[in-house]
Amino acid sequence: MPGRRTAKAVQHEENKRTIVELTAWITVAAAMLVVALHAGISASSTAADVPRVTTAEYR
Amino acid sequence: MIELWNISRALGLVALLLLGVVLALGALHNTSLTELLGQALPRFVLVALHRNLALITVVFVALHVVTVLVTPYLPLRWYHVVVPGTASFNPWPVGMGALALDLLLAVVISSALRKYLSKRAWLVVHWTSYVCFPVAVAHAVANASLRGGTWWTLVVPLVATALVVAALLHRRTARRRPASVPLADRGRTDPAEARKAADHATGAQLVVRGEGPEVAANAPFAASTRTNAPFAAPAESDAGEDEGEDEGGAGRGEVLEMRVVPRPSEEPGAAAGAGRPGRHAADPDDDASDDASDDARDDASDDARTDTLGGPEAPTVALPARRRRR
Repeated sequence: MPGRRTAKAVQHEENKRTIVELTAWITVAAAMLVVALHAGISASSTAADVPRVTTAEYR
Repeated sequence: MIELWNISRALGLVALLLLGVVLALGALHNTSLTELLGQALPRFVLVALHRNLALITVVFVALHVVTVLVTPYLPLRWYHVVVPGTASFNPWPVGMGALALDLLLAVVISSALRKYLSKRAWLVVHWTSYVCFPVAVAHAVANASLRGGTWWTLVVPLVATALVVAALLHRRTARRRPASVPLADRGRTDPAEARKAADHATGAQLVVRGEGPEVAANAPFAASTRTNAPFAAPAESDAGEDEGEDEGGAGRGEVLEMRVVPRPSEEPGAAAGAGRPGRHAADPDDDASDDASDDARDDASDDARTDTLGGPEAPTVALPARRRRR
């Protein structure tokens, strides 16, 4: 039984590491997505996309 | 400063996408997804991911709110983003965002205080995330301008909605456990389950269950009932070891249950019909027990503790004092 218990403990530790790694990767991906979306929005936005700013002000 | 407005939009869109992922994980954790993925992602991994990503979503939402408040182009005060309907500028979209923020905060705070809440209260508050998500999607769609050049950002709420809908459809078709509990009774403790857990915790075994006083009269020799056949004690059990209790009253039509409960001072395995010692079979004040039996009890206690119900759902039963581990 000790071997089985050890294997379970190792598997449990691996699963916990998976949780941390997946969380970190998803966070990094979200941050990169923010940067990409910001670049895309900045590149494609027009005066109609900016509230309370007239077209003249936007230009 | 227009860049700050664009950053705020990007943060809000990513927060919405993360909210969709969190909602999908929450909907999937009780399904057979773990079987589909094999051993790669056990259920507790999905639950932990659901919790971690929810906290990260809160961070992104907070950043979205802060950047919106800091942007000088929007005349928004802090209470405009907390109290729905108070903003004079763009009232409906801002109001929906405030409502979504309030619902998200309610879910997060109730989860943080979960150990102080009943499971049903926590569940009811947690289910409001199914209201929070559509409101957040409406906030995103209403704020997007179809006249401008950023109409393509509507893809994000579309993808998030598709994720959640797909997860809910999968949950409906591949539920891990059959939905035997009606929706209105979710989170309530089932009396039958509580009784079963109490029997498991105390080591008691159901001998006979039936209706009417004649059942009590024939209790030691009565046939096992249909629902408890595997747990019924043999008829030749020693009557002296039985501590049967008439819990339902002796009136006709009332349910009677007779149980065998091992005495605290009995040696492990001495209980009538017991294949294994009760969890609390060891008497902490028993001076006659030797070290060997102590070890055996410790092992049995460890074995029993691993699969015993715990937490706020555990039934309230009168248990003898637990043996303190050395």
